[in-house]
Amino acid sequence: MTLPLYERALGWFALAANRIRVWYDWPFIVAIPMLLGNRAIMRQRNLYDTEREPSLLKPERSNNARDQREPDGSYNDLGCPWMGMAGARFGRNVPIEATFGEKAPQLYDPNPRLISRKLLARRQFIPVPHLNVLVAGWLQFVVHDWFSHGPNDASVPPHKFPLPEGDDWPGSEMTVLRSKADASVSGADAGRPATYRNTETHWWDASQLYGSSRERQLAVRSNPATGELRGDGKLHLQADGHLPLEGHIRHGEIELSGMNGNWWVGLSVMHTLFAREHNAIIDRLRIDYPTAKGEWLFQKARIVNAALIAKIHTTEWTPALMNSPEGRFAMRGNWWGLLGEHYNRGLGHVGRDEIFSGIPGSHTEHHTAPYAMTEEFCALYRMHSLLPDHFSFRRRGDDSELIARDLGSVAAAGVHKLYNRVPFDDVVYSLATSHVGALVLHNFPSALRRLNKKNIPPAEGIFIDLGAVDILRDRERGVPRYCALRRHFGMRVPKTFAELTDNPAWQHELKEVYGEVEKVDLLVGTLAEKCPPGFGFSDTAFRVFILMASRRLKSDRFFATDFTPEVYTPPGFQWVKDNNLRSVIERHCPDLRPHFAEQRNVFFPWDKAGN
Amino acid sequence: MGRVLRIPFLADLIRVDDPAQIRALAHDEWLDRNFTGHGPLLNRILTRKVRRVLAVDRVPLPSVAPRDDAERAGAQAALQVELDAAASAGFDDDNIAALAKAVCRYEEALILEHAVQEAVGRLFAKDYRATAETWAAAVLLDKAARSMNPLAAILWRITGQITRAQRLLAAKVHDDRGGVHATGIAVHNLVRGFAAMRDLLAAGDPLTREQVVARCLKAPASVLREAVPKSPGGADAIRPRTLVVLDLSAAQQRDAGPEILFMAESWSQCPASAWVPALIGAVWDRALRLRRRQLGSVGGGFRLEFARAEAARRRAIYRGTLGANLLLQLAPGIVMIVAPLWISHFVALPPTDAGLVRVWGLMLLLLTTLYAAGWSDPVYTRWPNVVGIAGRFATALLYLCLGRGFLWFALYEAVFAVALTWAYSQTIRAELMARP
Repeated sequence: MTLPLYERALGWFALAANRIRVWYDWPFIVAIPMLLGNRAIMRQRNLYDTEREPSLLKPERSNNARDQREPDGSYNDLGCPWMGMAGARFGRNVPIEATFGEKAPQLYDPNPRLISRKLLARRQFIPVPHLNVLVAGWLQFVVHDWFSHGPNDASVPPHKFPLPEGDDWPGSEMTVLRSKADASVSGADAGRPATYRNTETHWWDASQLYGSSRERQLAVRSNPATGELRGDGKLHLQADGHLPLEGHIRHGEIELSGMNGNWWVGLSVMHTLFAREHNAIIDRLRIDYPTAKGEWLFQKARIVNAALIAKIHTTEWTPALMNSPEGRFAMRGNWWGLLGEHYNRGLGHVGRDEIFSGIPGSHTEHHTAPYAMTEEFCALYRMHSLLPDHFSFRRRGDDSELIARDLGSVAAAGVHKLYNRVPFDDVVYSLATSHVGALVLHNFPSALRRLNKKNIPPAEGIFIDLGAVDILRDRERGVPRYCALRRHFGMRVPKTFAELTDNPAWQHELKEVYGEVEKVDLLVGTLAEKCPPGFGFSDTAFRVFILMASRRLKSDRFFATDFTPEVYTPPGFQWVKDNNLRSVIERHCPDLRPHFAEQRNVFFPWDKAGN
Repeated sequence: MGRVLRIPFLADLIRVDDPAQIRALAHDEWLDRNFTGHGPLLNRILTRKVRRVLAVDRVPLPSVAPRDDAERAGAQAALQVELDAAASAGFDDDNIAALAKAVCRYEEALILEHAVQEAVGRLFAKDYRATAETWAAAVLLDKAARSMNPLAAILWRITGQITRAQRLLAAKVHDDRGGVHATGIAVHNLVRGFAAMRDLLAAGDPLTREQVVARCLKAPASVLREAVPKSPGGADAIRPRTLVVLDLSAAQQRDAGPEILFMAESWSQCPASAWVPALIGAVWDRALRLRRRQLGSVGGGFRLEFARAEAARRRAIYRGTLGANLLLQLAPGIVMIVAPLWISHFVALPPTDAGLVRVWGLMLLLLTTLYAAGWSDPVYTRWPNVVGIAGRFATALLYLCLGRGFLWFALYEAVFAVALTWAYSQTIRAELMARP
């Protein structure tokens, strides 16, 4: 498709300005059009479709697909029902011919375990002074909405590679199950790289809360003890406001939600808050629609809740990590446009384009490929370094410590056990007054580098080094390495390690491990790279984010064409406009208000009791 | 070999900013710091300036003393040993606290420059106290050493300011010329480094200690060498008495190694090559702790009150600038309506165009009125402000093309276009940083 003239002009401007210096080295007034121009270029050049035989997807349509989100994500695009549904393939941000998975010996070069030990292993926790642990919980919360590659493939021989000398890893080699490639290939796939299917819906539809299938959706709306579906449209919660427990889980009981893999306390907090928020929306809708059926209320509340989550991510979480005027302008512009929030609230959307009033309310557009999450986007959201290894849970009243736990103890079944000892408000307070880890080298959580997946004695356990796995997965799935990816995005490519990072010690370490800068893995490169001023992540990651963050909104008709009071209901539409994460926390944890009242953003560390 | 400025009788200078070349020249046996005061005119001016400014009682400071100066070599070695030991043993807690407080802008802290000068001065005199006078002396020496303004040089000479500055600094360090260099010249590099540390603290980026030290180490702008009289000549090579400027600050952009920052491993190496990085690291650690304690959670721009106050301040500046512009625009607008012939004469238009001038004046008044909403709330009413700024640039260009008396209008529009662009950009930036 052809971009509007103004977008093309911005693209030309960005191409010219990029030759001189990168966007964050320009003044604000130049940087903003450059960011818009970079996005325009990427919309043309960095979206590739992998779904070559969509008839293999079988969307199930309900009677109300026009104004509700289907459980499996189908019929978001009414003319292309399979687009973005659970089970659709991941797309790509680089040309298809550049996405062949690496094969041995290149696949294991350098040794992923060596990289994990030499470059990723945390020596001491490096915090981000101005971000709290809610950042990590939120990120995983939204990531679980967007994608999952599902279980790995136990039916084929796993990856096996030797351990570096002196390694204390159990056994003589490291074994990692392979990713499960899409087996439903057609003739059109001949000679093409392997693809992978997303087990979750690709859309920003809060499927982490509601599930990506009708069965899962019904499960979260039912009392697990009785199996009875709630007739009021609400998500089922326990009497104390906590999520119910899902029985029959291999490793003990985990809280029930739409997607509860890799569960830990930060993730639980977000799921709990937004499950409560769903129910609060139902209560509000019932005032205006007292005779509405539970199913209708559920579907409308879901749309509203999903939009609120999208708004929070766009206008609060991302600006907290992009704490510069340019970053904030970009994200607020995505939601409210150049005219800003105040104008949008007062006078609504101007025109059908996104430039003046933001993407919500503008026309839907997929640009050069059908909408899908991409492998490159998944790779760049590997942010495990955000997680601390140790947690201190303290009373909100006086900041005295209740208990201290390590990461392993507040994961999986450990979460609901923690709630037996620490009230929910105190958990939220503790996370919000603790610092998240920095996305830099040597800060990967130790607990995740020796994760006992089976929760059985170490002698029989199955261990995973998630740092090594992160490296291996990107290579396996054909995600280009750091320099190659930057090349595909038209970014300057470092020729030496000194150009990659200004830290002399890291330059030396990288050279020791990789030998040449072209071999640096994407994850390692983004952790080593100097971030733009005020940013918590690299410019490389940011490029893909601004493309995909806009795409998640622009392609989704519930955020674009159908972002209207008619579809959302007037009170639902107003709910999205009036609320943010601050108001969500105030609503469900009112006693915590004094701790964040003075903070500009609730993802900044809150005031501790006594301050 | 660098950029050569070679004009017979006038100049024989080479400026080198390539790190590899600098490393080689640092060991070059034909380059020294004799600064004979001979050679082409510019060379003589520069070398005599060095001898005059970087000296005490006409005795050169160690940083500009010749290679074979035994006293210089001995003092340099002794100071290196002392500073290396100090770096290993740890710093005086009071000094570190004072510097960290200055970096964090504690109310009761010394200003940063004084804190740094005091910390350096105490290496040479335990009771060293930095004052406005000692800092002014340091600023003067640094400025004089780098200035190419002959009038300023004459003024300083006539008034004896430089001599007084040298003697003041010397008296504070018991006439230790190394101390004069440290508190008068080298101190500025440290001040720049701690100013950078302040910015890093404010930005809040998650940096390791090593990264912070790397970013806060600042090389001297440049150092000067003179080729000895017996050096071999050649068409492109350094000739006898050629002045070689080693542009360390530029070289640091490409190579931040100790050979560039401190001329390490050479005869002229800075004795503080271990002490300075250790000091920076210690101050950073303390500043981080102070910042966390000072602000509780996080403070400054992360808090609503501060961020909103800053946004309000920027808004006030913009409204003031725009208000002045609108008032100044009203005046000619009124004159155009009331006395169009005078304006016609001013811009060299025929008198018969008086009607057009009145229309022009009316348009100016209308534009001013239309601007009222944008002036009243520049953040939320963006359209008139953005269009108004763009319009000013366009109008300036139009007036420029018209020429003659319109040039004054072009200048007026251009000045305000630039001023309003800057002020509005700052307003929007501050507003963005006051939102979640």
